[in-house]
Amino acid sequence: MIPYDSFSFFLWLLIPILPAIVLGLSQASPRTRSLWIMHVSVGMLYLILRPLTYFTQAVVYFVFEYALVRTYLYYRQSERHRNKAYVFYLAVVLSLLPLLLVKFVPLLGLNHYVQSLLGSPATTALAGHAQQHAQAAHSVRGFSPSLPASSAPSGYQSFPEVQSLPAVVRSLPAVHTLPGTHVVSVAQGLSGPQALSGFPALSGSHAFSSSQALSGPSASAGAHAFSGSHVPSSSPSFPAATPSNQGQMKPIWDSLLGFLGISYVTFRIVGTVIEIRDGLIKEVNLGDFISFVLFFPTLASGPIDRYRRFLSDLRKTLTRQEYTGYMVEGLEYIFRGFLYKFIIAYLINRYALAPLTHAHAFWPTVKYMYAYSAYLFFDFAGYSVFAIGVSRFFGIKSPENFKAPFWAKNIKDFWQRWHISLSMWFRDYIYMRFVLTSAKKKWLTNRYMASAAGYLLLFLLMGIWHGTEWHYIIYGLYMAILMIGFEFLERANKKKHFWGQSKAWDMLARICTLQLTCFGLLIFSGHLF
Amino acid sequence: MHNQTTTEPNAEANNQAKIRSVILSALTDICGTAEVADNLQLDLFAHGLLDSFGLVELMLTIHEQLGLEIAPTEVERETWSTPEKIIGYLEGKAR
Repeated sequence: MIPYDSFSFFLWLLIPILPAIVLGLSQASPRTRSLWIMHVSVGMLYLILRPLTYFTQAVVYFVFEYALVRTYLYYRQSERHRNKAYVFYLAVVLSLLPLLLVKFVPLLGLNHYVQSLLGSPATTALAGHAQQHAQAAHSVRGFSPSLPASSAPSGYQSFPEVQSLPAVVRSLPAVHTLPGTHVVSVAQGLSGPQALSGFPALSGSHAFSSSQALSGPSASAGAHAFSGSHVPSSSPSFPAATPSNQGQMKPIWDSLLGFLGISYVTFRIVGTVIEIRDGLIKEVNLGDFISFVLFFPTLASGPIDRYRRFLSDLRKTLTRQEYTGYMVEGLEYIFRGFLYKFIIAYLINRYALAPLTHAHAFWPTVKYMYAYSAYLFFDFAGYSVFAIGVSRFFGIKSPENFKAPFWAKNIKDFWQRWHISLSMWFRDYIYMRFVLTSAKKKWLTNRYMASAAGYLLLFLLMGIWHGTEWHYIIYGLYMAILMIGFEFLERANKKKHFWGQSKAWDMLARICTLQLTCFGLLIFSGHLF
Repeated sequence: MHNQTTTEPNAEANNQAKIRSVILSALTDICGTAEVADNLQLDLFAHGLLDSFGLVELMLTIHEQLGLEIAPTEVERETWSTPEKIIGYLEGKAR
């Protein structure tokens, strides 16, 4: 079940939330509240990830990561060991390993090994679906009826992934919902479930994506996509999302390996490992780690929280007034989510985006660019405020993810307003660390060069995280070039002052930034190539 | 970080003076304005005087001249937003 995607999910939400409200209003101790959070996170994990094979993988993943974190923590706390760099890098690589497997196994064509390793349950589950739809699929193949359901570009997940979404969407969805689309994948072997079929929806170009399905991250997107409302891809003739899909159980994840949210969860864990290295985190216990990593409101697509920040909320004693304030804020967020995701994003997709899915001429592409950017924002920001709003009911102030991104004055400003929890993660854990280390070790003599290399590293990693398809990588390069170019202009402007200070100049800066960022999102959408 | 173990009041005062002068001169360089040394309550991030890159340069200076290690995620920007807060944090850490 994709979180915040269907009416039934909101009904299920009442099960964890109503007791949380009782606990909050009765001023239960932080310990009691955190016990509830831990238990419902596990329960909701099962609900979100069904069938069992995905839940099992999530559990195995969690146990692996927890063991890794505890081992590394033990190493760091032990008097006998020094803080060796290679141990740290080893810990980071190991914590990334499951995600890397999920992303690259399908690329390498190893899916059938995975299938035999995982055993039949998963396979059968998927295969069963696949079969049901297969017939349909065949017939449909080509256009992806399935779209209806999902196709939303959404990407909350990675949202960036938007594009991947489609794939995902399709893939899974296809499996379940869509009639035929997915079938294809079946044929391909597990991987099949994936995206391939899905893509069609988006655009023909994707067809090959099937292999791409792998990209786990996209999955999330996919998740999104499923949401159903938007299939951007759906051709005009197909009414966009068909309500009929909704409510059906849709597969959330397009690949046998991995599970919905793994890319987001991995960020939380890697951040924790890095802070253990820095000596900022000195203690990790199982209960807190379950609550933090698997916190269900933000499981699927963030916002990406940080361990110490999350823990301070978890330990906080809330008075009844404070908790009531949280509830009111939470409700406001949730209503904003309905407006953004189910009304605005839905309408944009249905009336602006979907008709343009197959239009690749110049002007339709320009229209697609703006429609897609707006859609992506409302869909993903809508998801994010749902996640933030629901977190509030548990006394957790999940970080903000969007702050009027299209009002940014420059590209740097844009990244402080767009998918903030992700870009701040990359800024703090990749860019700053890289620049600091390269200066200390004198890798690059010029600090501006170090900064440029840091941006390149940051955005390429961000691109690949969204998916292993080329357009994500090009998107990363494009954003890196914009950032490096902006830093250069900013420095030049300090000396020569060619850019004015008045409101008109600000407005001009905003308009230019908007065009550049929308073009970046167009690359991201995969519509161009 | 290890050279401050002495508890003599004089040594501590010297130390604080050193932190203050190092930070103010570094900030003046990084932000490109003397205003930071005049107004210790100035919000460096809100005024666009300090960004991630500037912060990294500041951390480098702290590492090189004061021998203190600050991890990039150690301090929230809100708690490090003015020259006064930065100096206060470092004094606490050096102690």
